[in-house]
Amino acid sequence: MKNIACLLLTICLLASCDRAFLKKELSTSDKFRNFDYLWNEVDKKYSFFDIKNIDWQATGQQYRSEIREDMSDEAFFNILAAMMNSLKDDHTNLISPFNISRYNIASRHTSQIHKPLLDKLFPEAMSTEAFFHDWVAGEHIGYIRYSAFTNNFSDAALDYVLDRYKDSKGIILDLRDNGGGIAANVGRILGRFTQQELLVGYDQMRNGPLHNDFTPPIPIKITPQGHFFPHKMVVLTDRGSFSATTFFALSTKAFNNITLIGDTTGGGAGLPNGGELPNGWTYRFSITRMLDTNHQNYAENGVPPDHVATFDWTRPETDAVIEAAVNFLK
Amino acid sequence: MQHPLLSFISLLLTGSVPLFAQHPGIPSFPKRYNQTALEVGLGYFRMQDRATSPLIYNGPGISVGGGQHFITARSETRVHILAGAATQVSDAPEMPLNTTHNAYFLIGQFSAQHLRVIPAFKNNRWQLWAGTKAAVLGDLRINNGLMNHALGFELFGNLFGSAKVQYNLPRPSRKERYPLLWQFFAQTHIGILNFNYRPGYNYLSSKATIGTQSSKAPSDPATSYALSLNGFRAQFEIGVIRSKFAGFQGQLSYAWDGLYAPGRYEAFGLVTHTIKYTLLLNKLRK
Repeated sequence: MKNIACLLLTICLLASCDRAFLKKELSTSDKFRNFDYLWNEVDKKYSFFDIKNIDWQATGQQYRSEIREDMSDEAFFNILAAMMNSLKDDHTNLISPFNISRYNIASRHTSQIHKPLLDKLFPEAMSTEAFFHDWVAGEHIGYIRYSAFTNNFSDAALDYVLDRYKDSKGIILDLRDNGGGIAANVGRILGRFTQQELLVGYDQMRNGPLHNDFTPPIPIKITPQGHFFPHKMVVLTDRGSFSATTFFALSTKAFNNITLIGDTTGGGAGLPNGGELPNGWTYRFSITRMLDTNHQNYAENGVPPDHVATFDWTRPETDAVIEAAVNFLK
Repeated sequence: MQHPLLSFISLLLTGSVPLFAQHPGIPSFPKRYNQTALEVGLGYFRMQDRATSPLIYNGPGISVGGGQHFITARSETRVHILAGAATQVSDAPEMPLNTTHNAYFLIGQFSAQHLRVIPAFKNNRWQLWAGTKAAVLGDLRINNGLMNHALGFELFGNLFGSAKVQYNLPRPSRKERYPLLWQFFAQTHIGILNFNYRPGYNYLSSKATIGTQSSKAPSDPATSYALSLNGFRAQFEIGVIRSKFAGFQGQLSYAWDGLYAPGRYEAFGLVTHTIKYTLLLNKLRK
């Protein structure tokens, strides 16, 4: 009996030692402490303060003054969400059990694509894994729609699609309203359009408390992959082209045989992290940034097209952006 | 009646021999023998990774391990491997809608320790041992709620100063062929040199390579992970070894392990409480 009591006493003593290794008091629903935690995390780790033109200190003071400890969780969420949305970055989200905040940059601009029209323009289109594709009627030009970088595909499928148009004048890759996804798919596609390794930009990550503390720029290169496509490609973008699609659009600037047509992309040129607040809500925001080959940092605000083309909503039965691409390739 | 499992094991270990002479009083130890240890444990795993969350993740887990012990009258050397797995829940405060998250936690550890008995503190009943221990521990944590921080891993290397006190209690039994020996022990390991390799200021767990990037790409752990010589680790174990019959021993113990790696924004803490049962299979050394 004495031994068991001794054992229990030892366990209790050691359990109290846990405090030296774990800080239990950090878990709290206190609204001010949650606000300060989130503000500090963004301040210390967000990667685009320089081109967002935001006074984060003033932003924090403004929203903190609106907090009341007795306010509802919903009202508190809205304040945090508004602060996060001031970054104008769709890689920035606050996630609670009852709502998810998002800036939704695409909804703030006129859409340059009318998706139902694509089925009418390409009624006999093939669906090869993630790609919807066909010949443009009356032209020797291929049209390939890749709607989301989250949709994966095999190398064989990609080669099959490109081989189908290998004797064409060129192809149109439609990335309008492509919200991004698997960034590795960027290199897999672009690797078919070069026969040598190509520098397409640089990557950096925030690594210190000052807003301009970053790791040295790391070169991003595209290496040849799969079947080389020997003709021109036009890539269609708009403000709904976000994240991996922005990486893709920025990378195309290094290719002589690829042209961007449409509208500026939606940005999202940083990879987001993930984290948790003291009350258990979660968040994410960008902690890296992609620069172009001249070390210029602009892609987060959108990659501009080489030729602007907009959808003509007075003629919704035609796709003026695709028409512009066809005219370019002709 | 010997348990069938133990009979099977004894068949495998044909070299197993009685370790304790058959006479009343304190059984005598052979001068040199080896032990194969097989252990299973039920634990409570607690983890706090402030690189991703201020919350503590707690939950039950299991561990299995094994090792080899090389024991003489004056020293013992133990080499062990251990693997553990746990499911954990965050200690988020109570709110109208549940805000806790679940995580999976895996650990693996290799350790080696060498203790020598201190002659001045040795008699038939009591033994005091001192020495050192080295351990390398790796953990993998999976928490889908943390998005691009869903996956994290750490490596810890520690060199400890170690001490063990042991009390031998003979319990002659009429029912058993051999006398029972109870060995009560308590041992502690205090970290002297503590290394850790873990996320630094910022990190990404998702390998989001855009093109062909070097291993220093931001999405590569090599970029953001840092090797540091700091922190602290301590271990404590209390238990009893029951020598029920010759050649085999059973050990029941409680082990506490606490580990801390500092950092202004990315401090890490890990504590485990484990109740372990260890089967010790003895073999004389020639």
